[in-house]
Amino acid sequence: MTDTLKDKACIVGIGETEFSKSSGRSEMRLALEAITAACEDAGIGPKEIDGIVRFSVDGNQVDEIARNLGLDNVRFFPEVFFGGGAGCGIVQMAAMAVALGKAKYVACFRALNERSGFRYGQMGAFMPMAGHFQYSIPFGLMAPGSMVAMMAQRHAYNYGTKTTDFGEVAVAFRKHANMNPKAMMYGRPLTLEDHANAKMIAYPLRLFDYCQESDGAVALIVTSPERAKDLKQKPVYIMAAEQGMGSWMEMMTSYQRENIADLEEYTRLAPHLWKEAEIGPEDIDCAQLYDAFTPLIVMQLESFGFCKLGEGGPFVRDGALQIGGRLPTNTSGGCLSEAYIHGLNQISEGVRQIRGTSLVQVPNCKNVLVTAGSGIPTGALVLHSL
Amino acid sequence: MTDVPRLAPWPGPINQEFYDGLNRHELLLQKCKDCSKFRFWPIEMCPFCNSFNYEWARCSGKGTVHSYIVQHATMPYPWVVLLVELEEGPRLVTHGLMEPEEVYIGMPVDVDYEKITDEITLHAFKKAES
Repeated sequence: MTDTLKDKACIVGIGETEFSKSSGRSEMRLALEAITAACEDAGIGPKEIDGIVRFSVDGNQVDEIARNLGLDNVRFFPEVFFGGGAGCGIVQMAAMAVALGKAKYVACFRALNERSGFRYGQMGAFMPMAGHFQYSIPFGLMAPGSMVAMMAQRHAYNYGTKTTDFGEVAVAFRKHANMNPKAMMYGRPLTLEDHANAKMIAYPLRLFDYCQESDGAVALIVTSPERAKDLKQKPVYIMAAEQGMGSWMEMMTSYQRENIADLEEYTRLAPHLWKEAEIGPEDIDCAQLYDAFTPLIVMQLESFGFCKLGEGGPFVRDGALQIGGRLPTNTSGGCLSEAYIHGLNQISEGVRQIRGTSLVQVPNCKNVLVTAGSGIPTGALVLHSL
Repeated sequence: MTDVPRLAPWPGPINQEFYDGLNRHELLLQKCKDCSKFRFWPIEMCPFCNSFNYEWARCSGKGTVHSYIVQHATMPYPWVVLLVELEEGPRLVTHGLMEPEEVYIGMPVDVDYEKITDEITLHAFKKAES
């Protein structure tokens, strides 16, 4: 066995609930619906699951998931912390487990009533989550969007990035959402003018720079290539999977690092990711980038080498991120316009792109980059098929 | 007291001196006794040289605006939040005591203080006096 994870695990099933502002049912129910749907999609019975990986912030514990599913031999159940930063990390955990024979079928999930239940964006709501928020929230830096606005403002100062560049991001993903009936913003087109005239939330960010607040769940089933061959779907191989932190890392407010306009947590993991995948950004046909707030897209494009540091603004202009553009990105609408399932809905969309079943399908899509949450310890995946 | 209700931080063993200092209108930061570097926020170890030895040293209270936002939602009026880079090196998120149209990146600022509860006083920054 070589010391790389490349193509040693596959995503073979995806399951999603509907995405809404009020699910009307428990987070456990949502998780179980998504997990059983993912099993059905893969063509396995739920009782074949012997590994479960969760976001630490998820409201559902793995033992209760196992009890509900009637599992009697779960062998692998780690978790990954840091909110949406966990999204690709949980898949990395699952991939390593199946590659080393520690589990056969691993379920990865995220279920949340983030709109009807605990809302992260409310004033200071997540202050108790980590001690260091006492050094920002009491001063009026109230919510994640404001914390990102601080970085965006410096990005604009350093590199001349414009708020219309953030608008380009919002408009591109909304366009895709309008081709996806599951998206919360389906049927609600958005123009650059709408973006520029929207309510100011935290200058320089306006309403449409912010993601959705959503109820819903997404689950994935990960297994080995050998088992994948006998299942229902075309296997989607995990070409590379990495986690990363930058310097002076803290959740959302890594403001001591030299350049706060550089999302170092991605910039540092990207070379490892491309090395494992044995491809580069020029080989990516479609990207699913974590988009809690629009400036994070501009900055991620720089981190992963789609353009140089500071050139993310010019990169996104003229519809580059739209279907048919240079780098079709967040083709289901992303967190901005499909739903905020902490980015796990972007992994399932990445899987659909490789299968060729997306509603906003990129023609001949071979390689997809997926990223997890920004401004926090995070992760990324490259997906493809063989 | 300030006119806008503020969420209060929670002093504990690692940061009690920081908040005690603010109550006396002194901005204290941890300074490594081995490599002499300042750091923020309060943590056990010097991230530069990995020493556990530190003292609480008073800062000059002078800095420049490294970045800023203006919080519109959730505030009764547009509220300036600054990221100030102190002369000593570390950066602080703080309340900006100036009008939104006055603030700019690179603006020189001086420390000030706001009492937010009977027990807690926080730093805030105002335009530097020439």
